[in-house]
Amino acid sequence: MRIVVRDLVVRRGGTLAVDGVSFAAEPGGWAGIVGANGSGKTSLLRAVAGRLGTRSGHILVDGADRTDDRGWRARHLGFAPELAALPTSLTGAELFAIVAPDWRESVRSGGLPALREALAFDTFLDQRIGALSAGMRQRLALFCAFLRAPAAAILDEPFNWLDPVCAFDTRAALRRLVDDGLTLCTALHETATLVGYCDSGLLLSEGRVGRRLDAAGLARGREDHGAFEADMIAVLRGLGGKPDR
Amino acid sequence: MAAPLLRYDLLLARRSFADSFSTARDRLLLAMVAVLAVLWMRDAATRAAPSLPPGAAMMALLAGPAAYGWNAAALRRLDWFRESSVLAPQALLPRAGSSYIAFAQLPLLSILAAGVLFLGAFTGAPSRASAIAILSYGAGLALAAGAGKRAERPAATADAARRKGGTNCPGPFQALLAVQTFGGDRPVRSASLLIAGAALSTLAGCLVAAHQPAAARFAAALAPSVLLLVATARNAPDIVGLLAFAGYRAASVARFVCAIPAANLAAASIALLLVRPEGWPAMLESLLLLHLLAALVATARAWLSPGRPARRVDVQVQLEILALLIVGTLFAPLVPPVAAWRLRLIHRHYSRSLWVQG
Repeated sequence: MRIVVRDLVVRRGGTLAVDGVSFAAEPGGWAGIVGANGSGKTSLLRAVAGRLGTRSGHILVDGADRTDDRGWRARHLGFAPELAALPTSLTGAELFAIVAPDWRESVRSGGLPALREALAFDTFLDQRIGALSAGMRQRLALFCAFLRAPAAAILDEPFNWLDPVCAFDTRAALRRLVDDGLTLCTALHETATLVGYCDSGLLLSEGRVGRRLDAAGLARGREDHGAFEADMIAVLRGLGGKPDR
Repeated sequence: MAAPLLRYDLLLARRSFADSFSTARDRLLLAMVAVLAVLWMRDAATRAAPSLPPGAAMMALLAGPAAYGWNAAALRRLDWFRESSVLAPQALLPRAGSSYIAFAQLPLLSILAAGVLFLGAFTGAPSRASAIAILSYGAGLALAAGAGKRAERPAATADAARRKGGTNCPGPFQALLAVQTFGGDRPVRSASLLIAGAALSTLAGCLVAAHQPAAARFAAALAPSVLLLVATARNAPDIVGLLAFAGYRAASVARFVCAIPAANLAAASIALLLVRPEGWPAMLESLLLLHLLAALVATARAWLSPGRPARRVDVQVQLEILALLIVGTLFAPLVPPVAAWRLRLIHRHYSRSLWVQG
């Protein structure tokens, strides 16, 4: 599934959260979005996933303009909910059954069993979500995005709260899904995943694109991650009012 | 279309109910309350039948604000389903929203229908009671829908928003007002317009109902400002919690949250004094009492908010009001000192939450 975003503008709570952003996420590609807190990453991803309305611009999926069809995007793009939106009085199994009643069948194929194994939630699937730790909730929220076996998934800071082992395994499982054809867009807060796993990158600053990173740029970042990270930080510090649309 | 959303809400409600009454003591308490309610209904039925005007006036006062509050909450819930819940794909289906809002009317309409039947059976005029209730309910419904649409309409660009009042960085008072007036770009102007509208409605209502029975005059004088009080009685626990940690004193927060009740009281009083309908001193007294109660509730909710979930705050305030009602029933003169004592304790909770002690 190819997702193309053109000149997207999103307002949130009376402020301009995303201001004319354009990017493309290719089938079998992992697009990583980094930026400071409040730079518009979450609003951009939520708008693409149909969870927020857009003010202007276009969202094309496989060439078809789906800008005005939030419902279509919400149904066809997997999206992990925020932890605060999970129902604390239900169990993980009940939550999954609400999202996709036949989820046990739909996640049996492709790379999803590997992701399920990486997230390792089976031991606490029948416990109430309110009794789980933030990391355990994050595992459930992440898998919610894949319960309908979508061709594209949108994850906002997916590795927050996860322990090092789970984060490592989950990155590898997601990469395998991408290699099998999944289109993946994630907001990230660290550059190691960006250079190590992503195929393209986007730096957001004050709702605008600060820098674009292609596969070659990310490969250079892998070679000298320290220099790459220092460069990214310098860009994020110095962007201010000179973004590149 | 809205079946998954309703099933989800029902499941959560069932689970919440089961959790609330999970012990034998809780179930016994529930049974006792049910028995008391039945006894109260039987007792009320044996008393002298009320005449229609006071009953209808009460219905007009209650059905509109109840419809408004209920539907505003249903619209907020629908927005949450669409933006944040795991059921966003279902909530964004065509017609899912309208059918969810339509089904959400059922609980309130059932209570309203029971009230109308109860009143109609007493007064022998069920059709008039129904008509008044339906009109009032419709007005509340329309106001909620209008307010919901208004909240969805942001300024076209960031520059326009800045020109319209700089809501990109609102002060605490403006931020609280924006919550109370449904997130408009210029909350002070929105609040002023709402209060002016309610005052004009009071003025017009008093003139129109000048030759009507006392209860109708009373309803016309009080309904607009009561409706406004209920509509703007929204707590903002996140903002208030932040104010506490930023060092804002309890008195400042109380001033912020009481601004609308105070201004509304002033405007409604002026409107009332301009017309001076028959029995205006009693109307003025009722206005004062209602606004004082609203200000106290708003202050208590704000002072209790830091560090507590919104639901817990609302439950505690409801329990405080219930306790005051019981005290008032037993010995009315005790209400002011008990209220002051409770407010003092709540004030202490807020003061303990202050991050910066000046």
